[in-house]
Amino acid sequence: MIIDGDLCTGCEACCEYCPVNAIGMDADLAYIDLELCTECNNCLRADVCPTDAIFQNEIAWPRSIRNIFSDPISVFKETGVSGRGTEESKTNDVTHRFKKGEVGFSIDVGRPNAGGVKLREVDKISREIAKLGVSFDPDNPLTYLMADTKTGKLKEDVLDEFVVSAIIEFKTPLTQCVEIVKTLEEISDRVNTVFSVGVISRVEEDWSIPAQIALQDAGFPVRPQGKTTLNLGRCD
Amino acid sequence: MTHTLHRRLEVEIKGEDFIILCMATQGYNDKGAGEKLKKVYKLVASTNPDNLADDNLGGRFTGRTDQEILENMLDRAYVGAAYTDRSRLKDALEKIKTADLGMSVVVTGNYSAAFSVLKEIGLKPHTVNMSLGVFGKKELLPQKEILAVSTMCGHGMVTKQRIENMIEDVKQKQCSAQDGGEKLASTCTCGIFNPKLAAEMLKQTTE
Repeated sequence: MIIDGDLCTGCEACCEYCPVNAIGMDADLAYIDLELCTECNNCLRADVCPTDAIFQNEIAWPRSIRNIFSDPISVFKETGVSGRGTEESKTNDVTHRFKKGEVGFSIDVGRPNAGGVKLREVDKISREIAKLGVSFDPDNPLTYLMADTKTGKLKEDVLDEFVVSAIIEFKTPLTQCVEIVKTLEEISDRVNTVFSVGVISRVEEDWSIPAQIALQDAGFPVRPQGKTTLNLGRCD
Repeated sequence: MTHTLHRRLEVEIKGEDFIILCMATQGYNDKGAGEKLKKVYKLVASTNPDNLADDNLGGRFTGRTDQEILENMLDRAYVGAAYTDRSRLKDALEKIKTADLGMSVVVTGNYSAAFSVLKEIGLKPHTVNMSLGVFGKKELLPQKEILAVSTMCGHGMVTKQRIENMIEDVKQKQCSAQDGGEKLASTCTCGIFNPKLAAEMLKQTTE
């Protein structure tokens, strides 16, 4: 994303729309710090520039990753799904991606509002998690960036890319879910960002939630608000 | 995408916080899904939601009309609607259930409230995605009043700076809390940001 200095009037209307504070002012004109810009398009979509000075320049690999992870309406062409992750639990009534006895994890790195995150920080977490032998979701855009899904290591040329947030998705047996959360707690001190943790579980016939019980018993209470996929989807 | 998870309305506020998402599954039942999702959009619109969008196209507060959205909806559409009370949530879910379109439906909100609505209308939960909250360097987080508003856009497009400026505008009476809430919703393309709750938050922060 670029601001045309010849068109900018210096009104500063665009500045507050940047989630990572990449828009600054210099000599009374707005400019975008390309090191920080995540290509999320929020400033452009906001349509607040009175002279249309903001425009999207062509972006090549690996910078293009920034847009995939940061722009909510960008579509990851390999899966046809918009946004940073997969359909995860949302369509589990159709895909059965998560079966009884399995637990899914979504580690949303940089969220909420950490001011952006380098993929190098994401790499620290994915490599620690990989040591536990988890299966990274093959449809997740981040998994595509791994040099090796066994080690969780991201490709060298993407590590310095800066994004609003990125989601690590994987699944494990239910019996391993407490160990995963303990590991995430240990990693907490070693990362220079925040991450939000989501845990996916099937609901039993009696409406109990096995992962919730296991986590509660281990001293990791789940928050009272979350997502519930209903039993309405089907393939005709 | 986990964009409706991890909302942090941890302040006393008038109104509940529910979201409905409805979509096809890519590669399974997405062929021709656009027409079904249009029906869902119309059904949900009839329940007077606080926000409504197709996240590929934007929504009522991003400058799109319902007509425009319906005319441009694709098979990979995501219908998103926000509510501040369970009676309208119930109404919408009942209508979707009766239409029996075979699309996946997700409800985000307090589990105990959402489950009781499901029981009342004879629907069953299949899978849950639960939040364990925030880990890592928490000192990077904004204060809880800002988070309460910003986390309603899980993609981070309602920025801290914008919320702070809006609080100032409401304080200075340059705009009402209601207008402020609606303006903040303008950068959430998914329809999951609730402008009514944002207005409540602005009112409370500025009183």
